[in-house]
Amino acid sequence: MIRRILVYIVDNFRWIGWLMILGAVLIVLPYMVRTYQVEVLILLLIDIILVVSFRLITTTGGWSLAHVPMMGCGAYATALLTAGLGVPFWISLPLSGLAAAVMAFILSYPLARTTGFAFFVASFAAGDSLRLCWTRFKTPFGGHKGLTNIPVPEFFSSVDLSAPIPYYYLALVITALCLLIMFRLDRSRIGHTFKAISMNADLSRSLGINVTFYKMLAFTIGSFFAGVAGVLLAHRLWAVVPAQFGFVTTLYLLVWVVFGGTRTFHGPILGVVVLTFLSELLKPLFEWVPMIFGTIIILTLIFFPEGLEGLGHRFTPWLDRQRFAAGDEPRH
Amino acid sequence: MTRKVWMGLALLAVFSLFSLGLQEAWAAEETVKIGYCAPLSGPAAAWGLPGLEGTSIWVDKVNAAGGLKVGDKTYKIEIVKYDDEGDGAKALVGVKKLVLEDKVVAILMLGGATTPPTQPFLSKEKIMCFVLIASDIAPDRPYLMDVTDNFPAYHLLHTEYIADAHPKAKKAAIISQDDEIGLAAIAWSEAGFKAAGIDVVYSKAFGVSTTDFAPIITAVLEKKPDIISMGASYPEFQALICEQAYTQGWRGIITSACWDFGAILAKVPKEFMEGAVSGFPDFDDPKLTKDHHDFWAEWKKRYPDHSFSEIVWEYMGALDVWAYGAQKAGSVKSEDVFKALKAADTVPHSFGPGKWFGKETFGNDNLLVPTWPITEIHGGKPAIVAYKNLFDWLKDAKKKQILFDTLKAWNIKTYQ
Amino acid sequence: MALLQLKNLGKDFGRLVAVNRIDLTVEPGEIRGLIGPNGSGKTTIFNLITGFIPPSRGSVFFQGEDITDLPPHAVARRGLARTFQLTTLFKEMTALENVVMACHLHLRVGLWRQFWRTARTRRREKAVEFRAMELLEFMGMAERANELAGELPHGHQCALGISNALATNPKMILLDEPVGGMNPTETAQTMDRIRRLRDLGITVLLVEHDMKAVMSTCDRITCINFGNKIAEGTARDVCSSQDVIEAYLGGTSGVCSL
Ligand SMILES: Nc1ncnc2c1ncn2[C@@H]1O[C@H](COP(=O)(O)OP(=O)(O)OP(=O)(O)O)[C@@H](O)[C@H]1O
Ligand SMILES: [Mg+2]
Repeated sequence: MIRRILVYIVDNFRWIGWLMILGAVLIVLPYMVRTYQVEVLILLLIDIILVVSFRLITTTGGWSLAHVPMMGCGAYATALLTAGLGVPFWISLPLSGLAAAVMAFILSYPLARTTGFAFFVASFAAGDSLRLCWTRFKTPFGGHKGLTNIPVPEFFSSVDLSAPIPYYYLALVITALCLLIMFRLDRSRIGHTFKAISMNADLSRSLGINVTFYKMLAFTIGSFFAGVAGVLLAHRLWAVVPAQFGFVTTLYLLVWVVFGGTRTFHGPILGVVVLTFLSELLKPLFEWVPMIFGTIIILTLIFFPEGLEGLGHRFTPWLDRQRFAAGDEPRH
Repeated sequence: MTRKVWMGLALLAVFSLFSLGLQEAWAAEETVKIGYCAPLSGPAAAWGLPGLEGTSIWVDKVNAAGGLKVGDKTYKIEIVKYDDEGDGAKALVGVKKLVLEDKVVAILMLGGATTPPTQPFLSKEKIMCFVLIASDIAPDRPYLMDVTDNFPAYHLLHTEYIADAHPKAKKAAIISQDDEIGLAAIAWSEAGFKAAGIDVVYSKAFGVSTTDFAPIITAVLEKKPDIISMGASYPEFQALICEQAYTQGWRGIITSACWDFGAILAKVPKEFMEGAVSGFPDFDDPKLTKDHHDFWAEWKKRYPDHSFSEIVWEYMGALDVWAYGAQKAGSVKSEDVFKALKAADTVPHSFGPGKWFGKETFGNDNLLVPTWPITEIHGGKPAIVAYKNLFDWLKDAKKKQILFDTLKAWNIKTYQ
Repeated sequence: MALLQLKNLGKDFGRLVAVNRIDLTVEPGEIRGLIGPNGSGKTTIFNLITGFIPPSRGSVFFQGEDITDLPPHAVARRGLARTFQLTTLFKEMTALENVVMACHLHLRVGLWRQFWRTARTRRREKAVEFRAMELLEFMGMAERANELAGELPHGHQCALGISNALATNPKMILLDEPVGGMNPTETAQTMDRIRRLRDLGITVLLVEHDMKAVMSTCDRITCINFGNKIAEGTARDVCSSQDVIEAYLGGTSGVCSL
């Protein structure tokens, strides 16, 4: 009986149903947790934009180590625009994303011509030189101390976006919008072309696909969204410091993505969400955290080499068995 | 049936009264919490983890004595720690948790990259924040104080001591890594040497990812310095710099903000470091007080194979200052403690009575400056050889002018 | 006018002269065979023609236009398609998805429209899918359209590779060992389809080690060895050439065993 109900639920809740439940959970979530945990959720939303935009670039085959500095570009751009020039947040948001995209476009000119390990190294160098610019030039970037006094986003005067919960909703809406756009892109012909390039670049070329152009396109679009993530971060921390966009953050990004997997759209999201919750849970263990964390990641990768998204495939045969036991025909 | 219900309700009432009473009894012994938000893991852990050793010794001692007497109340002290991994975003989450959840009345932090994102919140909540990096002090961060570490100001004193003790030393070279503290160390050291009449023949920052120091040291030695200052180089850099200077045949006076001797002595013989100048004694130094010696004994007992560094006691030093302020204010409320501390003419620092300093250099008088010890290395161990006072140094208007000119030349903001 | 013309084309890999100085002219509607022992430079010539590697000397003309310095995608756009010796497919896509992907060029919808999927885009996509299905049928792959390309049997993979190349709507197609690893029945079917390509107005340049297949299909054959052209003409001409016989003596099979 329970089996039958379980199978029924899984089969009949189409994605819209799931999405509605997810939306409802996300809307009430900030009221269910502690104030400081709302802060964790805000950072999580920002990280979700970051990993999904990172995956967008990986769909063409390259793992960019410049992604976190690209987020920094967005953060610095909005700091200069809003705090320096008094541009409103809502204009600065797309403009700063665009600034990251323009920077990415310029860098992608040489980067898109490299593949594999060379791309890895070249993107790292590109990102690092960006960071060097921020620390070296006190005007306008503020050197090592970065930029402070970044204003709170303005909204109807009744809503105070310096408070955590309203900012959470702001981040939620922007994240949802970003994911929607990136999901559309992933499922469009453009997304298919990206994947074709990563599967067989030479064949794609011979079929008339301008591989370099599409790689530049992926890098630029991905960086745009990284920039948007940077904007959200800057307006939450009210400050940008170059150390924020250092290699440690990049390492976190790579761990999330490897842990979640890059094959599917939801893989990296799963990775960052699970690991963030895990690290919140483990926080009271302090010095032990890196060790436990490392063990969990290694074990996961041993048993699910494709990352967490591989779990789904393992789950399907099990579900089929349950269906069979419940007397239904397995679906395909 | 009804009797059972009544019985149950009565029991419940008794229980709840009982537990209320317990809570009351619990509350009679009040606890005050202090936050510890620092890197406990990751690459910067060395700047956060050892501090827990000192603070736990301090807390145990106070609590064993019954607690801290503030006004007519006695408080047990509890340290609530949070690992910010040296990351600004995580530190913001951390201080919010500490302040809003744990209701801490003060926070101990390392400072640096975690300061800009956390200060707006902490200033708004009027929560005192004790950091170890004086250059974080700023006019718009009223509650941020540095009450222990006098970096980078003590470079002025080290350099003056070197000029006193080695009148023949005429040329100095300064190197440190290219980051906020490295550049500050270079600028202040340069000012110190110049004011002491020593030529600065080389002062330059190296990249934080440098691994090969041969070309840098070659360039330094070409200028034939009598003194090499390593500024605020990280321990791993210090070992490499000393090794290069030693193998390239240089002998002279070495100075640095602080040391990691274990790492350095693994690369060069003890004799090479003989007479090196710094400002951090071990706490078993005969010139220090009994309090220091007691602490040293306790620390040695608890952590027999850990190496001592200023990080071990500096977070604890902030607790001392906080406790002094709380007792003076007769309250543990952050604002009261802050006012009491700022109103005091002198505040006891670990090294003796200290005065507030910083308005002209950092924009706020929130750096506690005592008479600072100068140490020389003898037989691989630091020993106090002199005491110097920053306010005495600043009395000389010419020297002061040199300081501000040099800071300006290094693009470091001042508030003169 | 010649459709494809190689003038003095050559490629050196360091000291190794992979292709020396090749002159080659292919007329429209022709099926031309390109043969030679292993490592004689056939694949390299394909790579030079289609812009995958820059030549050390010489030039390539297609329909009278100099395409020597064009990148591969631009060559493909001018109607010159190719297959690869090993794989000409996207392994993790189904056969149909493969060909749809290969129809990329014919979508002729801007990036913006692709993203928003307007009604027009959707109509185009439907049309493309229809055409892809036609191509699969042509190559005898219709019933396998929804299988993963990487899991198809070898013969079908080769057929799918040709479908992919055909999907670019080429005027000329370069086939690199299209029947390698096929059984005789499959080979005969594939060669038959290649002959039908000519009826569709597509010129073919064919590299193949299966001599029987080459001799029975090609109008003219060019034989190269060590990057040099050693014979050209009808099957009979090439078979009787002393150079060709010598070139193949060291190889595993004789040239003209038919
Ligand atoms: N990228 C390259 N770098 C260096 N040498 C190469 C490269 N590509 C091919 N070669 C060499 O050039 C020569 C010609 O190779 P090519 O692949 O064109 O031969 P082929 O005629 O296609 O042989 P097969 O019948 O085995 O496919 C070979 O000796 C090969 O080793
Ligand atoms: Mg070949």
